Amino acid sequence: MMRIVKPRNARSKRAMDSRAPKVVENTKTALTVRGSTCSVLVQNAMTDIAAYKQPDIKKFQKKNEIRPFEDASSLEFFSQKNDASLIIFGSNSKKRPNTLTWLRTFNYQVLDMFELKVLNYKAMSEFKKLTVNVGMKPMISFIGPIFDSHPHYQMVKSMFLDFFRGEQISMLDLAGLQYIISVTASGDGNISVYSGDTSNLPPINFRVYKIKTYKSKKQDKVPRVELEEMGPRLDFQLGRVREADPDMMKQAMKIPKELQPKAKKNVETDLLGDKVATIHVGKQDLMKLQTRKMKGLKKRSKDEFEGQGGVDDEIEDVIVSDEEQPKKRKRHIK
Amino acid sequence: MSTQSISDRPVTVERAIPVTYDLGNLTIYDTNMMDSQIMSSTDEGVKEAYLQSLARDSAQLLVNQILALPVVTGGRTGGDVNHNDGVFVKLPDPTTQLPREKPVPVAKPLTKWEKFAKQKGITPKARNSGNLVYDEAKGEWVKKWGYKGKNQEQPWLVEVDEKAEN
Repeated sequence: MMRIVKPRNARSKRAMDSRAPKVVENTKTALTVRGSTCSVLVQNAMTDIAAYKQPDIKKFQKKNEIRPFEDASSLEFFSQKNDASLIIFGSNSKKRPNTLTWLRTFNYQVLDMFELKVLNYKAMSEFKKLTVNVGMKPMISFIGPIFDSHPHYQMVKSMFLDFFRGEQISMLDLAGLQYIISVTASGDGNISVYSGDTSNLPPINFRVYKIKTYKSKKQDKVPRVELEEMGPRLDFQLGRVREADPDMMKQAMKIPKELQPKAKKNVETDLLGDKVATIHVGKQDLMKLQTRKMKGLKKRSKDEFEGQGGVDDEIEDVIVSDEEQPKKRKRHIK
Repeated sequence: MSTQSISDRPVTVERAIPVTYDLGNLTIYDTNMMDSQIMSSTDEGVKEAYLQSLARDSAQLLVNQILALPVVTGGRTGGDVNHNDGVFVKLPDPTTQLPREKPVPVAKPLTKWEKFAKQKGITPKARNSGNLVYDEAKGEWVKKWGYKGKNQEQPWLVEVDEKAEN
């Protein structure tokens, strides 16, 4: 659908290269798209969620007639145009009121998606104004055994993690631990996936809290953590789910060679837990071996060798003879 | 709880099933069962207080883990030049595998010149690598030329010694 653009200058080439597949990828950008039936509640919910994805999110203002579960091609087009691999689509209908459809793309094609119906919504504006700086990395917590046992909830966990985790960083400033996103779902997870009855599934509670640390009397190094809710407060009901095509998922989960951990050759850990390695020293030129200043190689009388065995005798003979022979030859030539 | 001073409250959290962490993503996975009675109660206040307490415990556990990570001090000596002041913690690589957004890049096919060069064994000319050279005696990198360069060790002006010349 998209025509292949040839870069005409360095700037456009840089833009193209930034969108090209890379070994280490960019932070995923997201889009919020409004459906033709999108209600004000859903719009506000999307705006509040988007606040925690800034600056890697684009909010579309116009309404679009799209049914993601029937035909997601226009969402794929948006993904390609905006280089965004995460999309939240908001809609509202009698059958599916206040629904947010979350979807991920792989290579600008739909990878997986699910519907979350908003059961309760308390806007950020209704809480005490506690803001975080844009681009701060959140702490994320998933509570509830169902996130480990039910495949649909595992998908929700994966999507939320992908969405909220932010930029990959190796060094974290301790002052940057400002807020926590807590996603909880009760229930033990012994719910059949194939029952089709979505009303039995436990709701997903989405909460965001600002972190305050207090110096603790109990331990010097570790602070006491206290939370204050800063919103939004959302309760979701899981609706329809479209799981990823296994082949596509396999492609998406591939780790490039450059990032795979390299096994170190020649280094092993022996039974005692010690690191054992082979150091390869080059071949020694025995002709140039210095034997003149080695006391152990001096010729000694037979009495001294009584308890040592014949091995030393032989070595001494060999080395001495090797060195002396060439010298003898040289003298003759002169 | 509110009568007790905040600094007296415990900093450790007990959990029946041990939790798992993904510190590279600052994430904690807690698979302990939740109190279904509280969760299904109609009293919003009770439910919210419970959810907040669970979240607080998670946050406390995460903070405890993060503070146990090796600390890197900012500044030129401490590592990354971009991080100046402040206490930094070296985060490990993320452990949870998430799907990529684009496929793994395919190695580009070699151009005609690259193929030819490879076949002939032509390598790019080794240019002198900048101005710095390692001085074994001092044990540090010094400039080859320029201000306080290594080539200025010898005096550039030596008077002619009449006897040595003739």
